[in-house]
Amino acid sequence: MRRLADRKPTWGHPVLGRRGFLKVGSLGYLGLTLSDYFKLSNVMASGIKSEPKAKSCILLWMHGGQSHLDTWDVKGNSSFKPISTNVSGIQISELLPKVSQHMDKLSIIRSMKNESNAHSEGTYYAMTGHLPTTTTRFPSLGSVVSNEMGMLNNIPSYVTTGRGRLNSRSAGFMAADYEPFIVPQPQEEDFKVAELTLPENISVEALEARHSFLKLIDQRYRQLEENASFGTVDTFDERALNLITSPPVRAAFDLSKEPTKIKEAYGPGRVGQGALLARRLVEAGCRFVTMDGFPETMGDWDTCHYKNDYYMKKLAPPLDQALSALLGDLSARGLLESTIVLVMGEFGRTPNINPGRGRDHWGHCWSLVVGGGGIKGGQVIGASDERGAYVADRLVTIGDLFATVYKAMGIDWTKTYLGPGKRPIYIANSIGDKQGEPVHELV
Amino acid sequence: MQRFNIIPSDLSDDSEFLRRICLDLTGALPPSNRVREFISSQDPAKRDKLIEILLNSTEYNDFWTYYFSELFRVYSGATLNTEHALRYEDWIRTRITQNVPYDRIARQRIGAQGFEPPASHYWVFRDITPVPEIATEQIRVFLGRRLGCAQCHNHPFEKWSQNQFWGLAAFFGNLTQIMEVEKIRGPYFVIDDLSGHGRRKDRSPAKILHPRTKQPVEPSFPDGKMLPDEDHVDMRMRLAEWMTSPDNPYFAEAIVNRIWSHFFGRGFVEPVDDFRTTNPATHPELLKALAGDFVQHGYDLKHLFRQILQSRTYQLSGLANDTNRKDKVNYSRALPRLLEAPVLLDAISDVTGVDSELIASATEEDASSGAPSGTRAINLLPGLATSSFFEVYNRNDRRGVPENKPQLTLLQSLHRLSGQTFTGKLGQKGNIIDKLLGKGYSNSQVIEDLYLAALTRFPTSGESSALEKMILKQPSRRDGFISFLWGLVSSREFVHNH
Repeated sequence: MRRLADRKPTWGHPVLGRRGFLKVGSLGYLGLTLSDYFKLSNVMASGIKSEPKAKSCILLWMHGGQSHLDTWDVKGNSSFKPISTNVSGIQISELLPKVSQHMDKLSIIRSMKNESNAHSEGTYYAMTGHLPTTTTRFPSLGSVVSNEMGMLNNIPSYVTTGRGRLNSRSAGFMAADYEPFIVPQPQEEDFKVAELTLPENISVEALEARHSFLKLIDQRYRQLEENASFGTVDTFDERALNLITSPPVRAAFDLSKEPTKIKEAYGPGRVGQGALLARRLVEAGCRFVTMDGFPETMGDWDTCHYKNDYYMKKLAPPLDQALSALLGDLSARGLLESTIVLVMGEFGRTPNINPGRGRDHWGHCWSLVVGGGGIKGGQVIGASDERGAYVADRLVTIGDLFATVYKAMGIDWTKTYLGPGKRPIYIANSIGDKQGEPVHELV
Repeated sequence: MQRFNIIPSDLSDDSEFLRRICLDLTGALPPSNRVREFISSQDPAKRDKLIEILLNSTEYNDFWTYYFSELFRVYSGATLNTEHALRYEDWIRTRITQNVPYDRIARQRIGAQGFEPPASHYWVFRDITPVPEIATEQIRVFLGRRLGCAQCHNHPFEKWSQNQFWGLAAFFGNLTQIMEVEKIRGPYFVIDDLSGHGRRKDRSPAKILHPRTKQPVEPSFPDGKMLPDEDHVDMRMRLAEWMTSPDNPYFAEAIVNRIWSHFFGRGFVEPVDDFRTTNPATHPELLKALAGDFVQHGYDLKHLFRQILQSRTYQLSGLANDTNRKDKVNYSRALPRLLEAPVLLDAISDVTGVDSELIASATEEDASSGAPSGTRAINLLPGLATSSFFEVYNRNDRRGVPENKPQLTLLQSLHRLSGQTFTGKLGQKGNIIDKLLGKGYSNSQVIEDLYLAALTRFPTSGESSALEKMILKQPSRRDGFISFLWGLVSSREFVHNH
């Protein structure tokens, strides 16, 4: 954890949370230094004495909106049966038989709410805790985690498969350092990250030659101009060369290094190989990975607008296989203790079946699962009403979810960052721009 | 500046001036033959003549269409119909080409009714943008003030009150979306519906309610004057007239500050749209004088550009002296600015002699759009073409008021090493290296020509001889020059305007 003393309350950078701000005045009495105080306040704020367990977070993104009624909260008019899991009293859909044997590792939140029913806005809201505006761009959960946790082993700290709808996976008003490192979808046989792979016709010697030319050309300008951010770009250039020439970093992105048995266990295609890539990255030190949870051979979870049952039978099995393999693999490697696994999309689907036998967008009440990284498994948080239409018990907001993830990672969830116009913005922003609170049953 | 004992730098030399003004006015680098021509010309009036040539070039029209498309948010996601965005962009282009007075442009955008092209900026993803946001955007873009805070409370430390904000917002209260239901792709338009029965997505009453008192708010100007009842027919236009009136000093100051920031990399007020009493201008007298002159000359943008570009301040060198090395706010010398993503991509295409493959991918929503190979990146609607370059350099998506200046990132450093833009263009047969070698140029001629094209200057004799030696050490002449060209387009001198 970086020390408080290193932090300057400037544009887009972290400042003390509301609680911290109130308490900082009493420092003198205690005779503490700021950095001591920060360590202390962390413990006070989180109310736990033990060290936070989570070092990384994997987000499997159910792009398009997954029907909660046919997966994690089976009820109403669902055509699928609920089945028992390895936790007594918890049932999930028969579409997820393999995951049902890992429910001790996961908890279900059945009372999520999104402020929007539209994909773009809903996705933006679920990824940032804010609806999009024309005047402020908000940072995504991954960018905040990347900033708060810092880089480990020279591995990019935030990796995704794209910027997401409305740039929802971006750093927003934060500095460029916290933009995600973008990789292509990992389903192809010859998957590779173009930016990490030198084309075959460029040798390391050629690379060196290019750099010696660059050095010579830059010499004059370097002497003339001190304001051209040489420091920053030199650091990035150096890191880029390191990345492209460092075997461990390239290996983290290299799925071909995985034994066939493991690759097959996760399942072929985007969902399985994405989950596997996420595990490799986390193992190497990446802080936040977002991978897409629908197969490349068909549309996303939104195809359920039409013939819901038919498409659910196509969409669920790859997720069942990938998620169960991921949980088993993380657990076998001792990584589940330090890795949060979060499975969610932007919203659920309607309790009503439409004339096309499909389900439409539904943000009012939906489900997600989360576990690992010290987050308790085998729990059900909140409940929907009889039809699964509205929250009946214990509303959990996106801000609460973010606060839960932050708390598991030892991040002060009460913190605000200064947005444009020096307006403080909660990193765990809940409905009505209030500060989210961790789900206490989970962390 | 005397007060701070800062002595301004000398006047820029011809190379420096030429590169800066071409990038600032046209977003393009001058070709090598033009650089030679300009540097060798003995005409004492050549700078003023160049300014006139550039102000009347097609490249000027292209670039300022791009500039205002960024500010006015032209993107296909508004109505999810590319055609609307293209019509809106074309509307801007016509205004730039005809040099329409800026106050008129502003009124037309704010007051747009029905199918008028700028009306599409009132949309976001097929819905009408919520009124508080609309009001905030107009005031930010045209008056340079950020009133987002006053939406919920009286602006701390400022004189903007919550009532003033909602009084302004109420001018947009009759905005109503009309959409032909059978044709989901449009047409879309907005009207000010007096009956308040228009179709509104959230079905809220057309009247704007004050969030605290829950009472309907009547449109009123910030000075407290209510909009007379007989003027309620075209309320937005009445507001636009108030905003752009010569008596309203904010309007001219906001655009002058924005344009100044474009030419100098820093506005008198920074961020450019955050005028506040607690955020004063660095040079209030100069800002006032330029704004007054702009109003006097009928809001003529080209006149404003000319005033700035002919000034000694704009034409100062970037070379620091001992007194102004640390100066960043007094315009005592030119400061380097990173090129914006589309400008940079066009520059790389020009210098390498290989057009960008910006073949538009059909978007989910609209398959009819397309951009032929060779289209300039600045003239491409964001989101329409797949280009890893835009992904890596994070091109502005125009969904919000432009805010972020270009930034350097790790991914860009990687992209330079291995990305398609660089490896593709450099590896391409028939690129500039092949052309120059095919013409039988000597090594020193190739070096000189590429320096002129990329950096708008001749190489120093030291640079030239060192580079020639390095070329000889490479496996082949072609390989050597490709490595050299990579160095050129990766250099700090290239990616900055200075």
